[in-house]
Amino acid sequence: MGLKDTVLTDLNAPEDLSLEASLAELEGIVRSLEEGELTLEESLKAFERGVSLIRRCNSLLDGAEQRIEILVGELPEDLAR
Amino acid sequence: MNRAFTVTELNQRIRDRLTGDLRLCDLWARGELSNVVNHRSGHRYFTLKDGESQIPCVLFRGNASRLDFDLADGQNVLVYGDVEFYRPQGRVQILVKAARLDVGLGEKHRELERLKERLAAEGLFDAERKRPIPAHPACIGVVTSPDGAALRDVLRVLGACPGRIVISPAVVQGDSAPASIASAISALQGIADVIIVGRGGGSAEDLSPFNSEVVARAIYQSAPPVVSAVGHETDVTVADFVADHRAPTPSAAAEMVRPDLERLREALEGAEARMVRSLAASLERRRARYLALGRLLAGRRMMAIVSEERQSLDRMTDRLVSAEDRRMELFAGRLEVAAGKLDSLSPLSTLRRGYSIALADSGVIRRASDLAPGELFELVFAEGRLLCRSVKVMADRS
Repeated sequence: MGLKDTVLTDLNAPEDLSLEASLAELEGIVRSLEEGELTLEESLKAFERGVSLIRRCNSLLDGAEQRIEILVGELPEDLAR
Repeated sequence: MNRAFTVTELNQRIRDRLTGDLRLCDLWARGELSNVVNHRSGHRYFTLKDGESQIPCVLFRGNASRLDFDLADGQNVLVYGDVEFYRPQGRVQILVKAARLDVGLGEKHRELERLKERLAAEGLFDAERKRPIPAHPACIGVVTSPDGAALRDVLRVLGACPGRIVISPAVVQGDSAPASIASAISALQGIADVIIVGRGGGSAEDLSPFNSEVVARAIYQSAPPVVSAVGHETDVTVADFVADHRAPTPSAAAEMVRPDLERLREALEGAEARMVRSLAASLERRRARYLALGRLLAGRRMMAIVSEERQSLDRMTDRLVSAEDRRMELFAGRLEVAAGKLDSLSPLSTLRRGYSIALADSGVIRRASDLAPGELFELVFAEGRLLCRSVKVMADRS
């Protein structure tokens, strides 16, 4: 999907994106900006989207704490918190 | 006829001959155990055999109590002792002084080799199918015993990483282990982005579930890549061959899977810098074009276009300044500087060399296909303008 499509169509709120998805989208945005094929308005939208994705990633990194789940049964006591 | 020996004399002679042979003392022998008898006296009797031969063995109580494992039929062992001749029964046997489990050879080992050959022939070990570990997994699956030290090692090394850690509990030892490990792996399909499968160190027997075909196939069929971490560095199992990556220990597996946060932060900063740089460059390009045109062209229509573009540039600068990041202010400052420079720039000299600029209602025409045949446009020269009509869109002259 080209950037025009992603910028101009519905986007997931950055808060809903995983780190991996945010990084992938960010990479696409940076590349499109560098290619310089976007119109002014598209560039600006892309830029703002990029900044919010970077914020999302940083907050994921800053707020990182170990989140453990278990598929079957209960977490052993020493691991549950 | 020579003098006939009594049986006792004969056996005595044989015994003297055997015990006098130093090559039959203090030796190691390797084989599979059978007919293990734990006698009430505390002594152990068993037969050591391989594919073609067998020899009876005796292990007396004192030495038996020092063994660190229980003798059982089918085990591959190394025994240490002397060959002796048991006169009352005319039997050659090994007087065993020590024994240990043999992980190297034996029937089980050959069976394992056959399994490896079969799986290798089927392509389960192929290097081409090994997949990389995702750099930023949103979910890390761990298949191991919830009570084992391996899980604690993995969690300690993973530390606070972005993303979830999902434990898929498995029995990692005993007869039910292979099926349990296999189903714990399949339970993580669709959930985990990468899976660590493993357990801490143990005897060859303890690690044997990871040599089972059912575990090998579960790893092979896993959609997320699998990192195997079985036992210690020297233990290599079938699971290790099938897995996308083999870690020497559970801690090392966690090390391999854990995202590198430092590098990630650097990459984010890099991405931001690249965005700012390219947006600034693109703004400067446009600004140069429009400002120069604005000065050059007297036509009211063009002035309107230019003024519109100017406004959107101003709007953009405002928006950038309002962004919280201080870097954005810096960037806006650079934009001002760039704008200043632009005033000294002009395409006039270029136009004087014989170039002209084609303008349509929508702005500068960059390619022939921007215009439909019949459309009006302006050609701007260093001196004066022409109102023109397009006749036909043609390909490049070659």
